[in-house]
Amino acid sequence: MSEPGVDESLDLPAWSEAFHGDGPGPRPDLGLDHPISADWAYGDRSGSGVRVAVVDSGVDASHPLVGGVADYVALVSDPDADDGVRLEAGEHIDLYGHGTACAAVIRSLAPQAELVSVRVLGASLKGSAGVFARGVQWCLDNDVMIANLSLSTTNERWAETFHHLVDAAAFRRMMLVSSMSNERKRTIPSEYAGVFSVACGPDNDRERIWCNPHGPAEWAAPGIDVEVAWNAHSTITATGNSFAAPVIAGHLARIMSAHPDLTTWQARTVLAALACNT
Amino acid sequence: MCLGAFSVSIARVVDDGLYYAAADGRGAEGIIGTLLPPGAGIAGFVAATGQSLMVRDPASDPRFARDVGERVGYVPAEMQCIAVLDREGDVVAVLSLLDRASAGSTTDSSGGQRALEAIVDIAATLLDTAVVDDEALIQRFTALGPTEKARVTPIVHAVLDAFER
Repeated sequence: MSEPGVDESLDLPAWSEAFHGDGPGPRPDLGLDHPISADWAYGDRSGSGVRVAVVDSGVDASHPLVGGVADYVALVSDPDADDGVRLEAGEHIDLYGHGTACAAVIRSLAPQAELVSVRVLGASLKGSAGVFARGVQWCLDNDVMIANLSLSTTNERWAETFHHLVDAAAFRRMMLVSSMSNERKRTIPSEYAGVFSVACGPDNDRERIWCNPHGPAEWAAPGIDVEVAWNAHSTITATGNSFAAPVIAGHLARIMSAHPDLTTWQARTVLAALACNT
Repeated sequence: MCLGAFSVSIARVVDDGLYYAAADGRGAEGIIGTLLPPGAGIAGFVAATGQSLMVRDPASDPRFARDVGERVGYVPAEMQCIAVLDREGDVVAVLSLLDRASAGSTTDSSGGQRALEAIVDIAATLLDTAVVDDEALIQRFTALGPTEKARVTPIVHAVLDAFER
């Protein structure tokens, strides 16, 4: 499981090792006479006008760190539904706290982003991969510009479905930000090159992100021992690639607010120019 | 103490929630037989998503303190929950380790990580009742070094006892 040059004394979420120790090396550099600046890239840093979906366990809009949710949809496994999934509109709660944590991270970076809660994790502990895929499809069909996926599946049966979703998202200018699994195992869709795949970086400053052009975790952001929002208006200190992904989603929301016509590939290039590894 | 933690438990995914089938270490007797309803706590999230999670001061999640910590008479400072998957990648159980750091695992975390990966694999094999492969299980166990084997043995025995194998 170990890789050359990785300090095995570190107890990190999987795929985060590349960003610790000697790090991933320099970020990709366009070699411009006037490099892309943070002020140009982020504009007013508000995220205004950008619709950001949190595909997760729901979002508690009343949590003081979340600051409201613009739209909700809950997807529920239902054998009687046409494609096995039933859609429920209207407000919902966060059954676990995880989606609330991700939403609050995005809000901290892009305070005026339009947050959408796409709940794909309900009370059922079985059969969630198909609901997850349907949630991503809902984002494609409902004008979402950035979708944060702090979850993944190892289920091979869904690999092709997610492959198609990732391709469709790229050409419809929807950015999928996907956390790598915390263990070394299949991590779908985060292992696909078409998503913004995220692991944990070495410090807790959300303004600092890392770019690893060698992948499979292409981006890193704070996610180790970070304080995050949780259920019942609480916060917890947690570790996981899950909490790094929404940092990247927040940075992208700022960029897309300032430059709403960028393609996914252009946004990737801008984000890389802002990475702190040089 | 096993796997460098003060307490280790395995909860199976069942139709009506998470059933704690095996445990070893502090509070083990109190946790075995507990049924957590769907949607409850950090282990429930891991069961629902397959995403593992490490949380410091999990008692700050109110449901953890009510549903688990108070029941076993032990509220940990740190909790790590890891999904145990079957061959198709579906979650069949959740392995929970309490207070790994306090138990000193960080001084030897690479060995601890290997033992952890082994126990997750072994638990997955034991829990996958449709395709239990005793030969593969024995090979996986014998491939471990002596230190890792010593760490894994108590929880393997606990799982075997739980499933009467």
